[in-house]
Amino acid sequence: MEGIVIGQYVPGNSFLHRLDPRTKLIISAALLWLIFLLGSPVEYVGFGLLVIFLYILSGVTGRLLRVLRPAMYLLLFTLGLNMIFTPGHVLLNLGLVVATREGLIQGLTVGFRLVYLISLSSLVTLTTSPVRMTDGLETLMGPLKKARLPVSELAMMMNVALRFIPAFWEEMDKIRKAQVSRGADFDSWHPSRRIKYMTALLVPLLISAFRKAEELSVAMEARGYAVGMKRTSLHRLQLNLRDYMAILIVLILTTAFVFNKYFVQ
Amino acid sequence: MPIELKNISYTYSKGTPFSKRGLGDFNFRVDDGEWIAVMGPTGSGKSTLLQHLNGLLKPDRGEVLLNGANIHSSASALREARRKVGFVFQYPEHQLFGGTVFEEVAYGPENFGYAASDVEETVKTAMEAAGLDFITYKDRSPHELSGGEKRRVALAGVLAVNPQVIALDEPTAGLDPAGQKMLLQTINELNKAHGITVIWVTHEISEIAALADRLLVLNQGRTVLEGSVREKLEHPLLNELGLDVPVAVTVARGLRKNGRLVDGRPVTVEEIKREILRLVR
Repeated sequence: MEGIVIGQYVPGNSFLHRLDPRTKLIISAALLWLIFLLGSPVEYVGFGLLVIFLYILSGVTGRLLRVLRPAMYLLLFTLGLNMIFTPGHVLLNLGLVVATREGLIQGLTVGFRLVYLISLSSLVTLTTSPVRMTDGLETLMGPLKKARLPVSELAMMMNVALRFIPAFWEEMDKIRKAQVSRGADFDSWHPSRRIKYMTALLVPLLISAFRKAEELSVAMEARGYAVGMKRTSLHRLQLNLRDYMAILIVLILTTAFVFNKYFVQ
Repeated sequence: MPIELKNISYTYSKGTPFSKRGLGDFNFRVDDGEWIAVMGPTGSGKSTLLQHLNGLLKPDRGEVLLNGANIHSSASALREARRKVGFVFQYPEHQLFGGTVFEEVAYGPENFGYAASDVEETVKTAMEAAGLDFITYKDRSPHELSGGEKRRVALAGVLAVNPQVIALDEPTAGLDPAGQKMLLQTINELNKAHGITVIWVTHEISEIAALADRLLVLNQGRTVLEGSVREKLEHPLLNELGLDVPVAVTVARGLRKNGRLVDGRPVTVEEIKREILRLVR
């Protein structure tokens, strides 16, 4: 139960790691939008190469397959459904089910879009620590404060929640070990015993959650935290030259792509 | 019921960027009725060592032998190890869940399949051994007790399955002096009168310097010092590692440096006081 990794973040110092979280959010939004404009196979291949290039650039290539593994079934499922339910030229006739060529193409299109969506959005979480991500979201959503949305408080809640996942994990591990030492068997399939074992795990965990919340709120108030106040940040997000460059490049590429696709010819 | 650790290696989060060595090629033997004090800086492998004693952690390499049998050889051997080796975690009161003290203490015996008729007797014995009066406490909620009392309840919960070895991870942390004294007396009684083996991890060796038999000092997952408590407490390595050295030992060292002949190896304030008075006269 040790080795807690929150989310997918892989610490590193690559170009993508060093980009401002806001840059990454904006760029990924643009690229995700682009996925839905892809048409010809060439464009698909080109985009695929771009994704692989970005993974290599960030040094987390090894994670690509792990990121996609959970989506495998979804992909096969959509591919299968599309092949069967799209009318067109028959490729394979199995009596009740008929697979069509159009269906295969449709299925592959949807499938590749899914792969790109998952791998691109994962790339952002792979290269951005959760805390920086919340900071980025907070700044990006800043204008919503005008609409009286408690953006800072939401971000703080998110940060606190993220910050306490490892602490609770540790606490749970400790309680689990303590109860196992007293003969609890959490792998038991006996329903009534299982309830008893789980009670011995969840009750102390809940009590500890309240204790931690209490301690944290006292500690925060002692350091002057109040809801609705304007706070500054120790680690200020700053857009550097590389951020502007990255945004500019993506902007040019996207515009060129869209212009070429819809306005030339 | 001797415990032997043979060539134990354990790494946390193996195969990830966060991997960290817990223990490396570690050998140790605990004999019946011993009281062993374990010290070491944070992250030196003290807790890792304790968790190997009753199979909470499974070594990557090496084996843990309880009475000569590998505790990971079968599920029943592991269960036996859990019953024979009681474990008191740091802040054990944080694991309390029962509605009453009785229910809490009876958890272990019930899990280990004690007959219902025996449970009350064993709970009573364990509570008395931990210094809790059975009639007064059995129906109270453990959550409304004081910190010291809660810790006694947790201790009783561990004692209730009649362990022959008890491993404690900084058991006095966060207790007031009275609570610390009572806990020490309880453990001392169990060790001296009932022959229960005690393995006590601590940062404050002073409190058990006169009670423990053997001292084990760990650093970075390895044994760096091992032997009789009184003898090893004089080793300069303890100061180098920034560990607690009893005042008596420091004072005795100072006296010797000034040419005074200090008798024996005083480790408690009481002992050094006697020596100083003798030297002054």
